[in-house]
Amino acid sequence: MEGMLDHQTDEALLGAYREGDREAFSVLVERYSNELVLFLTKQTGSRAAAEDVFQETFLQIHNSASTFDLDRRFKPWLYTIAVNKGRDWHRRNARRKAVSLSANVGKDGDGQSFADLMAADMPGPSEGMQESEMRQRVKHVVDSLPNHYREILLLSYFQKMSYTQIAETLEIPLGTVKSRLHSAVAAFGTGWNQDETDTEEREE
Amino acid sequence: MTKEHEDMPMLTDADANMLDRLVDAEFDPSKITGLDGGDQARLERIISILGLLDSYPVAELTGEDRTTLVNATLARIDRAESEQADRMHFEPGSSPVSRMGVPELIAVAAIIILGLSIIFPMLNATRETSTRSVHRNNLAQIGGAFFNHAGDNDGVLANTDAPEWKTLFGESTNRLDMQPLVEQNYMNPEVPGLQGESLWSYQTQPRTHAFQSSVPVRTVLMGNRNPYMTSEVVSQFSYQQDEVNFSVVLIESHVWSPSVLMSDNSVEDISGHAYEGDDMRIPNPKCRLLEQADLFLTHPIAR
Repeated sequence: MEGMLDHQTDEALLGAYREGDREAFSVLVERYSNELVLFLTKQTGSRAAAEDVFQETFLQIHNSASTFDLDRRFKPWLYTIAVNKGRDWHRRNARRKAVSLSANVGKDGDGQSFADLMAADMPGPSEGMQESEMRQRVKHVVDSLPNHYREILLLSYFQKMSYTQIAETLEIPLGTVKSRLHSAVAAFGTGWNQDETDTEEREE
Repeated sequence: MTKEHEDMPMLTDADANMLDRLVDAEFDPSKITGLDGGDQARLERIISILGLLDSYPVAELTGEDRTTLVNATLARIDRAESEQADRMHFEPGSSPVSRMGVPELIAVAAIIILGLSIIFPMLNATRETSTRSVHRNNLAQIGGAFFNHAGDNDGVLANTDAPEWKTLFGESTNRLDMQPLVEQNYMNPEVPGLQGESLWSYQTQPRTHAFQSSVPVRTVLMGNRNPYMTSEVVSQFSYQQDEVNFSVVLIESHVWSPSVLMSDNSVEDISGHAYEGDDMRIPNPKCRLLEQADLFLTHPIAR
């Protein structure tokens, strides 16, 4: 029975759950457990928070299962809910201080391109830095990004979503998806450089 | 979305285009071919910085982690369901009333009893207060009648030999008929409760003595109860006219707010001076003439 369920689509599983098949739902939860928790861990910056938000997400799925249009795809809906629950979590825990990303980059600034920034003596992942130290810096920069930048960066880079899928998930226009992702990448690059400068200053 | 464009970090157009192609290729640079040298370098730089994201410290869930998480999630949903069911359930047999146990019943009963215990004394006290004010007024009336009669008869409060006093006190009954005093205009016939044999009774003092009609009555006890029957509160005052002392003593059956008829016919509260006992010994100086009293007049209080 379980083996049969394992090969069903998300939408079929949700449909079965609506008919009263609890096992189908647990397969669905299991199916997304790793992927969504990893996403939410980066989104919230904490595994514990991610697991909490994960549970809230599936509680919401359970509560709203009857309203879901089975002709639509399940995954964007799941991520829409997860992103919203993640935002709720951030709102409840709004003590995180965002790093200023107002530094001018690109054509609005002093003509310095993003590529220039990255070219500026950026060490490779293994060079001159302890592995764990670099991991902590990446985490720090990602955690410091504004929510809407972090969301779109994670959905795009880690979940490999297309612009259309992101637009569907975040419920924003396609044009906004593009410009926001561009900004998010620029913000990450700037943040990384900024962080590196700060680190060097601390070390000096 | 205009707000979003304010202070937004920007990529150059060339970088942005390359990023778009990367997104389409799901960030797999090998899918992007045919680039010139500059674009190739741009691609590599973007990949290298986005590649940093892979270093975000996050551990994949083990099989055990996943099982735990799935179970916790399902349990949480069950919990939410049952909480909701508790809120929504109104089936017969699960109504709040039928789920009320013995402790709840006791609590409710206690509250009701407490409420009644507050309300009933209040009702009683109100009734007592109104009754007592009527009786006080009656005492003042009858006291005035006695003293006026005494003033008209050489200071003798009441000569029981006189025919009208024989009528008044009767021969053998202890009922008091106020009619002669009313007829002699010593009392206002309009005052309710004054007339009628049943309302007033008398006793002589000391109680072992039979009423002797030849003895002039000089001291009168007045109260709302027969003092030998209840004698809870006793007080008196004296009245002097033509060198003869008259005493009037009020008997109250209630310890709260006892009142006494004064010589000017006012009724005064003598609580604090009153004596509570089962006989006529009155240690209170204000009441020392009680034992010399010749007559008690009492008025039964309606309860």
